[in-house]
Amino acid sequence: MYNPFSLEGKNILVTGASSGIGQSVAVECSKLGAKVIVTGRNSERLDCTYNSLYGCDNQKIVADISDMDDLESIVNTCPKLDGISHNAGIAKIVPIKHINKVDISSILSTNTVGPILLTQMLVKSKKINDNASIVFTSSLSGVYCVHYGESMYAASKGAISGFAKGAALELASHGIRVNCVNPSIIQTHIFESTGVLSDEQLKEKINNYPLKRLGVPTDVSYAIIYFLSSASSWVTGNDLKIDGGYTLI
Amino acid sequence: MKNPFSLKGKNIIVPIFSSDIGSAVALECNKNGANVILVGDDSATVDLLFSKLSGDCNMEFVINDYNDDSLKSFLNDCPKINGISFNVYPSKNILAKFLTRRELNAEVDKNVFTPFLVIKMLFKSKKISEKASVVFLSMISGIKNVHYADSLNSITSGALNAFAKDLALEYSQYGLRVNNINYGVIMTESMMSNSVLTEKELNEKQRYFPLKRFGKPEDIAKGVVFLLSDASSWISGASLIIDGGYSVL
Repeated sequence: MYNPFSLEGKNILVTGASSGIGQSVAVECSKLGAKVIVTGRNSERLDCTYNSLYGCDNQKIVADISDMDDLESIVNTCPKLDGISHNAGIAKIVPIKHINKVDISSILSTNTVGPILLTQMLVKSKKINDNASIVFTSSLSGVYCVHYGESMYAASKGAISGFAKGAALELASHGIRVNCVNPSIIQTHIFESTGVLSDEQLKEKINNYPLKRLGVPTDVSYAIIYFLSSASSWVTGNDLKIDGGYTLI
Repeated sequence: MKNPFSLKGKNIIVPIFSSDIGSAVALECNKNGANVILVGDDSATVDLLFSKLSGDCNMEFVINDYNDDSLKSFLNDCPKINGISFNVYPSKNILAKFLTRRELNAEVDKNVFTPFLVIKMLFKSKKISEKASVVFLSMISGIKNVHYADSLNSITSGALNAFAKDLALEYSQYGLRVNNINYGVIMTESMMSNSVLTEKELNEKQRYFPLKRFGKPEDIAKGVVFLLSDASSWISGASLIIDGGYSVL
């Protein structure tokens, strides 16, 4: 049946696949016919993602995006790619006066430096096919708005959105497209584990969303699939808001 | 397996007053399973496109004037709808110093006020289902880049983008989503036949686009399908740029 959003025959690398948005991207991509290569730090949870994938040709690589050796093992073991979904990311709420060098480098190395280096190494080793599509899971934070205590996180995501624009331009000569999705609060492990909100505050928060709910991982993974599929073959350089209308108010 | 991008069973209004883009949107929505409700001012154009649609639940309406009886009968006979895709009329290229109040009024009236009033009337006649989706198609003019003699396009695109946000907020209580697509230069039949440029010059112009080609009406239409489908159910008040990377540069 006709489906312009199909990923049939495409090899898609999904980072941060052991939980949250990355996990959802991996599963949904496999449902739409892609061969998915999942990577993540936590081998137990990565297994869990890997086992829930559809199709039998998928691959898993346990790797920490902030570790150079691990990046090399991803580049060496993955096949030639038609798509990459970068989701590996950490969040930390720290007021400016408490920011320290250790935290900055830990956030930047996972959210910014790792994804940039992985892209660079894949390009250099010719692992990305012509007309492939790269999607970064950026954020509302740092691109459209911020919250108190988010300045470091915002810096890491603003930087990745900036990099994505440069990559969109430079890789376009190979027909490779680069886009970002910019979600607001998605109910995932990363959100629940930061645990800064009580149930009551959560309810109040939902009132700030015109569509009256927080996001779920598939809200983001479907948008990523739009960008990965050939339905978006003339789309590059975007920062697509996925926020239930949050930034309207 | 359920396809989250499918429009199966959805009633989608596609006005085709303007261009090849409207027609492409109608056909693409139909291919993705939608019942298309065509609305146009020229019965021959509407009939021809209607004959190309598949399925038994499509409808066609000819509206000559937004104040006459054809509008009333449209509001009466149109079924409850799940989505609308409005497309701006391409405006004439006139340098700002030659623009008159008459031209400004006419462009804003048909491109901005008419969609506004149509949505208002459809709501009033309870023709819009819960969780419906509205997509406004306009240009990147005024949003991203401008060109000489482009002010009419900038004015209407800018106004639609701004006004879509108000609609998104005010109608969010009904679960209605409202989004924009801003597109770059699309190669349509009318553009090719009306162009003052030679084919060689047009080919040269395509090199300005990072992805090295003009857009096709289908590039837009597939973006519309994404924003009309349930795959984007947490996206509202957003703008998707479909321009081959033109505005990145």
